[in-house]
Amino acid sequence: MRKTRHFSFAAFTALASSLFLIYLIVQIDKVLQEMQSDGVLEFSFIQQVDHNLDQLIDSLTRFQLASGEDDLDALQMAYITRFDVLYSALFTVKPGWLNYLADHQSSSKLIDESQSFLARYEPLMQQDVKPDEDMLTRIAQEARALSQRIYETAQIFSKQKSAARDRQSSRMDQLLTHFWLTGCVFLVVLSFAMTHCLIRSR
Amino acid sequence: MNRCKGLTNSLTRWWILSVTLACLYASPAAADSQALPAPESDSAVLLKIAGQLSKPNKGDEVWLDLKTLESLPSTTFITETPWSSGPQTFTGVRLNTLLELVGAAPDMIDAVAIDNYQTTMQNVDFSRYPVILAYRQNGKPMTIRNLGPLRIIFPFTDHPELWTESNETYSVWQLTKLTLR
Repeated sequence: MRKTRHFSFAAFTALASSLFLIYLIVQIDKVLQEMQSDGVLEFSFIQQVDHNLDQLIDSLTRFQLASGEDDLDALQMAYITRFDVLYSALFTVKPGWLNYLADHQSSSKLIDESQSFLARYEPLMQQDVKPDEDMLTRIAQEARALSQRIYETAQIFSKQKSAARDRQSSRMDQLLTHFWLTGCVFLVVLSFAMTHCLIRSR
Repeated sequence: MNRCKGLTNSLTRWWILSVTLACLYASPAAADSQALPAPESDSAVLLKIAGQLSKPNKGDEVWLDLKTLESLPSTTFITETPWSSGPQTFTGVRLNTLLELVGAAPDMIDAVAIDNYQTTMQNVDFSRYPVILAYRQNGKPMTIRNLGPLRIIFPFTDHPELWTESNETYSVWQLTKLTLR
């Protein structure tokens, strides 16, 4: 009777530990997937937007400073191209990345503001439209302010990613410790049960 | 004696033929006829290919416009990309076809975009996978605003094994220059 109780206890422990092992494997896989989306590409995207804003400011300044000898049409084409590049980054590049960034409230707000900046000045970005000096200065100023905000957002994003990575790393350590301990318990119980079976069969 | 004379004659004929063919092959005219046509105006240039290539059409480089690209054998496929919603149809020239046409077999390719984004492509089997230099999306030419006019597209949907972070970084949009190494 006592032996049967021991055997049942061993069987129950083996079953419970195997179920817990399966749960741990699923959790480890989940953490690994989270670790894989490390945000490097998103960070690179933010950097590109910042760089494109700088390029737009630069091309607007060059157009403003142009003298009679410079090719005004080419300089205008240059800032329109820079504007179009920004437009493509903020309007055409969609789902995956921007949704990911939009999880962070500040990024979402910033993307909205950047899109509204582009929409506001889009009518001026044509070869046959010559914006006046004040308008060009205003566009450059707004672009500069956005660039600064993007830089700050990138820093926040970087800090958040570092914190998330630390969390994931510590969770992974915890899961692996549990995995090894449970694995050991499972093996001990299993060997006990097998030994018990062998003794009984004799 | 006659057999010996016949042998000498045929050897002489072969020698003349070989020399003529070698001269034709080495002449600039022959090289030009093998190279892709250069764009009529500099403003029409969409892509410059520099580096290790044997069939330049403008100095040491190959310059291409949309007209030339559209005249080359094209490949069309439908694929999803991380940067668009839903499957998109892309048409363009296979990169391995383009590399053959410019006389190159590079180990690495530096790709540069309008916004100075740069990446170095390596370990991509262009002969196995139809990676294209796309100039049309959903049947329409691409503008800068639509990430065009040229874009490197991987067939991610047909070949899910290509959907790696490295290949995502190789999927350069607004491509302007390739340097072959």
